[in-house]
Amino acid sequence: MILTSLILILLATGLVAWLSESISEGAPKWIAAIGLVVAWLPLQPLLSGLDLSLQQSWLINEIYPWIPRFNISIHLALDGLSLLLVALTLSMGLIAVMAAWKEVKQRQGFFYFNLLWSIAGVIGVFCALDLFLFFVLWEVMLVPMYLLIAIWGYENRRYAAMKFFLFTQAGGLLMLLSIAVLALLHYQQSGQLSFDYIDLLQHQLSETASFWVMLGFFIAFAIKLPIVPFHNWLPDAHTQAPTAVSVILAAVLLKTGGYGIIRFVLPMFPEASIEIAPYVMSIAGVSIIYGALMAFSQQDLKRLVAYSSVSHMGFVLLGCFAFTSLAWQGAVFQMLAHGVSTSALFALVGAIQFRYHTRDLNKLGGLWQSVPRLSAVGLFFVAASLGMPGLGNFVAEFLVLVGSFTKYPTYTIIAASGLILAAIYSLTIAQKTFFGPLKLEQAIDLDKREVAMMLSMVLLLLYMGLHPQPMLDLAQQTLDRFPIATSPSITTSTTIAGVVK
Amino acid sequence: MSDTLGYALLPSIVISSTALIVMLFAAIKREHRYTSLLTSLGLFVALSIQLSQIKNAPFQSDLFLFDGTTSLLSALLILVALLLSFLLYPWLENLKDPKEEYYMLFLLATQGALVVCASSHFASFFLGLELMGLSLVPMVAYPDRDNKALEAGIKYLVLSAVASAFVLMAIAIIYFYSGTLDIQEIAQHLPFANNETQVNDVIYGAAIILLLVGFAFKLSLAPCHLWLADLLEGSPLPTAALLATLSKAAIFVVLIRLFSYGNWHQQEAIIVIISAVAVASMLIGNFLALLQNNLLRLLAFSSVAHFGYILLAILAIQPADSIAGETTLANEAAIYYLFAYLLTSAGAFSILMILQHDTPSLPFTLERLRGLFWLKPATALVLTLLFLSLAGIPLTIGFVGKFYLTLAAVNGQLWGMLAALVIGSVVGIYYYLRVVLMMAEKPKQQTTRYHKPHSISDLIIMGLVTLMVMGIGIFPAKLATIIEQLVA
Repeated sequence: MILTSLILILLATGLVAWLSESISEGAPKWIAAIGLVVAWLPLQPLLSGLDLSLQQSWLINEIYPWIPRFNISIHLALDGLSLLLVALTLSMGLIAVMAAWKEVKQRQGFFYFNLLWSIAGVIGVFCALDLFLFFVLWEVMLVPMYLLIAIWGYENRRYAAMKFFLFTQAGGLLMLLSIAVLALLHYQQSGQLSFDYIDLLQHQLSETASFWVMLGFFIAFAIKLPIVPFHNWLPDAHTQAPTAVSVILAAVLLKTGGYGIIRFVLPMFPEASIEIAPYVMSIAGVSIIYGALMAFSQQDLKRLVAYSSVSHMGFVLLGCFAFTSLAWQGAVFQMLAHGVSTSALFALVGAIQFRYHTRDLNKLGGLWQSVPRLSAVGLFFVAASLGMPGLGNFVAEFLVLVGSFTKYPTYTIIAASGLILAAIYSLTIAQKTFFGPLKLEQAIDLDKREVAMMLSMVLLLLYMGLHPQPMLDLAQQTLDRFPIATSPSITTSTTIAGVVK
Repeated sequence: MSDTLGYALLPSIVISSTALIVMLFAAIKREHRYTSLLTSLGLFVALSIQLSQIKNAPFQSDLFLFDGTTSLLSALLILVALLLSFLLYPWLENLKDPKEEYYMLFLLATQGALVVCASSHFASFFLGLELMGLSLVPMVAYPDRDNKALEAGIKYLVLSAVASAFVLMAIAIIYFYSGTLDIQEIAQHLPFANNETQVNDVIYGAAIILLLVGFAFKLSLAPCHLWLADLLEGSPLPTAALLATLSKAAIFVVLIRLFSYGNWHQQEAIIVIISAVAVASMLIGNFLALLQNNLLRLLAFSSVAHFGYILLAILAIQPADSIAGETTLANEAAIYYLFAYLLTSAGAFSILMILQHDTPSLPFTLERLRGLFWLKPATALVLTLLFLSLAGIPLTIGFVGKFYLTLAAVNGQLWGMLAALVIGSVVGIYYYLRVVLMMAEKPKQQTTRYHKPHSISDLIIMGLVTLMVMGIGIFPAKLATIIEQLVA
């Protein structure tokens, strides 16, 4: 009941927040914030008694029958990876509510309703182990997100919302086809229709079938991640979305793509994944460089951060397909670190826009003289984003690069050059916004709520950078069960060729 | 008692008698309120009888086949008619023409749909088809001071007659070859039934094409789809709703029957034609819907596309090489999708009818929905839900239907068709969401269009529609089990 009640709490809070709008204008945000805190309660017994030394595969495992005709059940489960991502979602959800606190003034009830429902959907995605349920939640989290961008976004919101929805839908439909093929092939072999992850995991596909099915999943996740040919929706969606939605989008929605690859693509289609790994690595390299170059040439601060996201998520893909334990850990850690650091940057841009009503780098400048507190935390987040040692992103990128280098040295070297580009665009942000002569009039510095919000993210990034081991252990709990990770034969690049043959 | 023809026909008898009583009542004393009540009551009684018959053993007479599929779909047709009948009263009350006749025609059209749905013989099929078609013509042109309605009525009369003539000609040729009009027996009695080679006879081929053209017209499948948009736009809303749901669904049931009993899937020429029609309908329907600014025209083209989708299920009935031997899956998919489409579509039309109460004369442009979210949130939410269901977004019945279809089509390995389905769906989402976006826009200042509060009956209907679309969308298990048992 733990996961079910967690999701239900969020859904119910959303409804209450919406209804409370008619009683009091200010009520919905308080209710949303309280709901996100209360949602931790079901996880409490788990977190306090967390013992990873037990060799159990799932920390929580809940199954309820749903559609017996197709043997579909509501199968929710939690392991180390899911737990990390659920925790990230809940904390960033709270940050999002705080970011929206003063910014959202219209129809607050409906806003927080959508926010909470999309958070609930994302948590469901991280826990669902029935492929049908996974698909349902995958789509369901989009609808509130779409409304959030379409109703509360900036000037060009309708275009951005539509683009966001169409891209993810197209990927989603391909994934649905893949799920159908997978389930039917399983039925053909075993005589039993099943959409359950654990059943399908044990299923051996023929080489061609495996390739096409894998491709359907991969494209859906690559669109979400996003990876270069499919990244088009992200800058628009981020630029047009209100701050809180940008935070959710960057912190957790993109992570569903990375999660999908780690949870489904790699363990279910190991051979096919190894086969396409070189191509994927090169795409990841292109993503890292291209995202960084594009970020460098943006005038709009939010667009800049969005493109930097594309670059950072390239590292996740790189880590996933390197097929070494270190790189996988790096990929998971990059998802977490990027979730916090990029959300922080978006929250910062939101705070700047709230004060100066512009995000144009040419119009900003010299903010340090006007709002020193904001600029100081800003500098910190910029440093985190460029991969400063001691902060979360550094650990992640370092792990990915070290892990990938043994297998794919060329791609890794190319990807590593992305770090230099990251330094360039990050320092551009710092220089053009915080330093130089003040071009705009004075404004009020961060208030207590904002300081608390920013400071919590600062602490999180520091913790990740200085003491990453607990989180890595949790991630390792999932990675240990990878069928390919446990087989010792795949440790050098020469044996990989053998496996492919 | 339970296996007699009379018992199986009882719902139809109830509906016909209601029609007769309505007619007699109108001759003696015109009383709109009672006529309306009587109609709904008759349909309700018919629905409850039909529902009680679902689990009965199949029963076949010379002209009719009453099996599980028939009963379930008949129940669905009556349900849709019942839902729409609640909304007739406010519309007719505002109309200056005589009112009672519409109820009679409405009931007769429903009756025709039921006959078509249960027919297992070309004679009964044609009788039902004409009963339905001829009742619909005056219903289209009912507000006879409205030029658009008159134009639509004449269009429908001419085109429907041409299509019927095609069907009749085809039936005649088929009879000439097989000597029987029974759908199940035709395939066995054909002179070339026993050899494995494909049917090459030119005249017989022509008959098949004539029949398919007739069907394509009635189902408004591409390339015979253009009439539907004009008709939905021109005819009064309740008639438009019947045209888009009841008449199409009934004919589709016969198509399913031709495939599952008539063994049509063994003839390759038919498969090729239907595949082409399906792809064309999916693509043309969706792309044309993209260009529409009138909500009814949009719904018309979306209906074209949806019937293109559902042809996938027809094609997947006993395919040549299926992945898994799920034989009944395609049948179930067709029925589930019909369910989903009919409920959603009827729901959408009833919401439009509710909106129509406020401003009866305005055309249903997209612009008319601007700001509906903030002016009438409940209506807008239900309408959003229905459009999401049409788009096939999860937690709605439309998604379950689409899931069934995908599974059936994958099972039949119809990859080309699936590609068209994916493209069509993505395009579809664009125009459905356009409507939702328009409702979420800020309302214009001088808007006084939506001033009336909802009446209680409107609220009940909206609640009912939501319950059906979301209820089955979230908990599809019950219906899935029923359909599986009936088809097996």
